[in-house]
Amino acid sequence: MIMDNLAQYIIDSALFILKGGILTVELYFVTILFSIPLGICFALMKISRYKLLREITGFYTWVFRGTPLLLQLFFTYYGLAVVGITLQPFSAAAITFVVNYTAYLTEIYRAGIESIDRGQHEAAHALNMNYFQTMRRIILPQAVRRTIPPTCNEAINLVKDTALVSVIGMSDLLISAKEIFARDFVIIPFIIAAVIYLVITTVIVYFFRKIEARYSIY
Amino acid sequence: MQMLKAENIIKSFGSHRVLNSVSLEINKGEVIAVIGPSGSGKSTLLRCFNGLEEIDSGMILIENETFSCKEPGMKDTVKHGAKRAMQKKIGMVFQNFNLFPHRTVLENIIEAPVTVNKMNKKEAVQMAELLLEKVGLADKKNSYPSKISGGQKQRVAIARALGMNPDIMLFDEPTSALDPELTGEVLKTMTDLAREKMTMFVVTHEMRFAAEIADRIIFMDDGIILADDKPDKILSSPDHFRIKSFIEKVGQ
Repeated sequence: MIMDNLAQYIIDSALFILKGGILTVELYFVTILFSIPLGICFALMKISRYKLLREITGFYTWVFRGTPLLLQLFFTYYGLAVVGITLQPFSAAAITFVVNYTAYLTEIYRAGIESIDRGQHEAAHALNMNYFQTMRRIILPQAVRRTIPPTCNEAINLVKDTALVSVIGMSDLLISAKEIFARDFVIIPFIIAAVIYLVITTVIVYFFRKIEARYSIY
Repeated sequence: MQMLKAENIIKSFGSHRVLNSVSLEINKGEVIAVIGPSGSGKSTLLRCFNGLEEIDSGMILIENETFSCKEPGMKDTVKHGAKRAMQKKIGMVFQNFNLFPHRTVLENIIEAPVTVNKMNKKEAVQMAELLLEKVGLADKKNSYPSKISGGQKQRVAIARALGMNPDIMLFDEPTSALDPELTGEVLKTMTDLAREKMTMFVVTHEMRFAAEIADRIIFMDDGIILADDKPDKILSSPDHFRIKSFIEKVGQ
């Protein structure tokens, strides 16, 4: 391969891989958008005074943190099809990722909420605030701040976990890179893929740092 | 006029009986200092008055309305909603201030009036500024709690409780977490409040405050009220050896 064409080759490959990257990014945002609020809701259920809610959410996090994400992906896409529930690959992937990541975030937010001093609840009670006012105005803002770093960890993991969708036949960023590799047998597409992943995670880390800075005014 | 009345309050934590049939009355405008050794049930009693602790049995009346009424092993006859409505009349100040760290001083004060009482935000801010002036912290309104001293925090906490316009203020060892040189400013704020005829129920170790400001002193020991009388009576001629030895130990 001559040098002139190398630049062109890299650009063409990058564009092709980025096309696959669109799917990665879509899946990423769907997962984040749903699993953060769901994680907060489930965390509140997990520390609820109702035993049934605690047990349901406890069972849920036990199952989804205790089995491989890959298995869950197989289960949703291939397994459910056997019993008559057929899902599009994207839906199957999105559902699996949301359910899986919500389980982790539930535990993160539960720990965050429980780390807030009891005195905060008592002060809110003494000021006649009800449960929802206390949670929304007093407890959650403080808990969310404390859980920014672990949430950032999960957000980074998610970028890389999206690569698993290839097993249900989706052409994401990594698979696109591998297709070029299979055709040309050169290392360049993998390097391009790595660079794109790094760019994405860098943006995410930057974004979380901004949020953290905004929250650390007190 | 009667502000609060407690009858035969019993409260246990596990097998340990913290309050053993406590009865007392608080009249409007009265300042009551509750003293006694630690573990005697003072704070628990105070916390029962605003529902932070649930009584096992007994009765609590607030302005002649039943706030809590319970037979042993039975449910409270007063519904949760009714309790909450009555609890609005009760302000509380904690030993550890419990200010909201993510809110500025001003925001701490307007939080409950705006979210709970649906007060107009502008009015709430005006009221908060007045309260801050009263406790001498007008210049700190935009500070976060982490940036002010313990004494200032407690004065903000007092202003925050006053923001809900309570009829009675409960103080749970308000100066115990403070460095000695900072207790004065908090006690002064409380003294001002007492002069304005606020009804106050103060669990404290500050014997001078108890002696000079309180109308009555209640001495608690081991879950019961050993004495309930005028300060000079209790402090100068205690008729119980437990009180005598406590006062000697604390030292006036």
